Amino acid sequence: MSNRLAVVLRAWATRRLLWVWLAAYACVITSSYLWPWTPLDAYFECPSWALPRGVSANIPWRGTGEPSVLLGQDDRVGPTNTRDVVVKGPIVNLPRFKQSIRKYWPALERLFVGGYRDDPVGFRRLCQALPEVRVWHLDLNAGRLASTVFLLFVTLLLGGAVMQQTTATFSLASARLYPQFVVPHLIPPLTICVAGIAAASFISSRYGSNIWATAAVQVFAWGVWSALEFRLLLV
Amino acid sequence: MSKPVIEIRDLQKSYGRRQKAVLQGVDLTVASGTVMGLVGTNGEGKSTLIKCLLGLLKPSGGEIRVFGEDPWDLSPKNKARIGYVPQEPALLPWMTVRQQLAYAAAFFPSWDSSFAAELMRQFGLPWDDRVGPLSLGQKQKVAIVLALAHRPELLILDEPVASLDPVARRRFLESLARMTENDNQTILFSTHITSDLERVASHLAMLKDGSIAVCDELDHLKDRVKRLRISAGEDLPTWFAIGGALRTEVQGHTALVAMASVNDGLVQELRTRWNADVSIEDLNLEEIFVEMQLV
Repeated sequence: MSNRLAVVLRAWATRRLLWVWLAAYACVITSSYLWPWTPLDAYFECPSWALPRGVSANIPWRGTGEPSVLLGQDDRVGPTNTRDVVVKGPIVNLPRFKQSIRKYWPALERLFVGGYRDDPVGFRRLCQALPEVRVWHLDLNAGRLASTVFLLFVTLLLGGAVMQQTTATFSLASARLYPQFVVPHLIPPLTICVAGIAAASFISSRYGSNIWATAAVQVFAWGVWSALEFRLLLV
Repeated sequence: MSKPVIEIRDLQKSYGRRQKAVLQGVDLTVASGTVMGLVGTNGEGKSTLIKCLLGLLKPSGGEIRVFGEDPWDLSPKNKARIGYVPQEPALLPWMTVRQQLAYAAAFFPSWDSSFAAELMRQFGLPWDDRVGPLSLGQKQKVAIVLALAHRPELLILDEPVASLDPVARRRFLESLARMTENDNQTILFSTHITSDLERVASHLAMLKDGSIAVCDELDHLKDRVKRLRISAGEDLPTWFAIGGALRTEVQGHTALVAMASVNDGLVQELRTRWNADVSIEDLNLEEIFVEMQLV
């Protein structure tokens, strides 16, 4: 077995293009570890240029006040037909805020909030508390968005590399004809899958991002496909 | 008769949504120690038959046994007893020839490194060149080395010499001839080059219309299939025919008749009835193949 595994590993190691792909993936994994992106959750922010025009309420958060304060310097303001509201700062008293929305903005459809940069749990709680309202994060982190896209792209490349390599061996007649071919040929792609998932999970656990879970699932899916495709190709 | 290495019963294989039938009830038995030539025109299903035999294609019907097992689920032990040279060599192009050989050697316990080295030398193959840039003929030579070097008991060759130069072809046939000195060596050799078969084959199977039209010992076949040259005393009628003839060609008072078998009684009858001079001509394998295909 060790002899067979050795030649299979050499078949992988001698593929130069694979090393290029692996290096690209390693770069992304390393940069994501050394240079974490904030905020620490997977939601996407609404960029300022994408905010709706004619927003009728733009009330600065004053830090420790109650929702009545949030909703206006003048709490005596009556209900309006406002559909879009921009709120800066986290909402401290969520039940009271919900009451105020019902009272003052019954037609509210979209809420843009800031102040949740380091509080993904609080943001999620806000979203869940207002199921009838679409809640957007206010601040765009372009670097994080670009990194995420790049990460997915590179993960895709690695998956493609694994798939191409396994195709090169499993699509040949030797996959069916060589004795005890399958197990040593499954070990490298599955190891890469496990390593990819482990790396993504480690970074995910430290910095928190559903994107990493997505990446891990991608690695796994590509790996499984690569490992099993020879079954599909031959019949 | 020796124990059969290959047994095929009513093998059927269809392709595509319309289930185009390529093999329609193939029956074939190849005994141990036999060198079976497999011939047939293009598209008759020779490669399909071979791929079904190797477990590369799943048959649509019928039964195949290779070393007594279903080739779709062949055990590792029996896989190690088979060598295969495909029509188009399928190799790992980024590896060197040396690495490619080491890769294959790791899977075959009976790999004979000295025999592999001898074949490499005979074929003049470069050890340290990458496989990808090699010519088609060189790749085919590598595929042949990979198939022969573990000294398989069953060697299956699918048009192996089509891309070889005459020198390499001759050396390959010499290697085959040496291998056939071993009684256990069984070879199934698909090719269009019938002169190659005449050099190495002991038996011949001919695929026609999706089934085996002829399966016989090569010598017996050549003894049996003959051409009669009939020179009659007068012009032969256009309806001139002989029962059991494969093909008849009439021109004036001469007729050429290919026969699946000839007996003295028939020849005597022709001489008497048509006042003819009848001579019996031997056919080479190519002529037999053509006559059989034209039926």
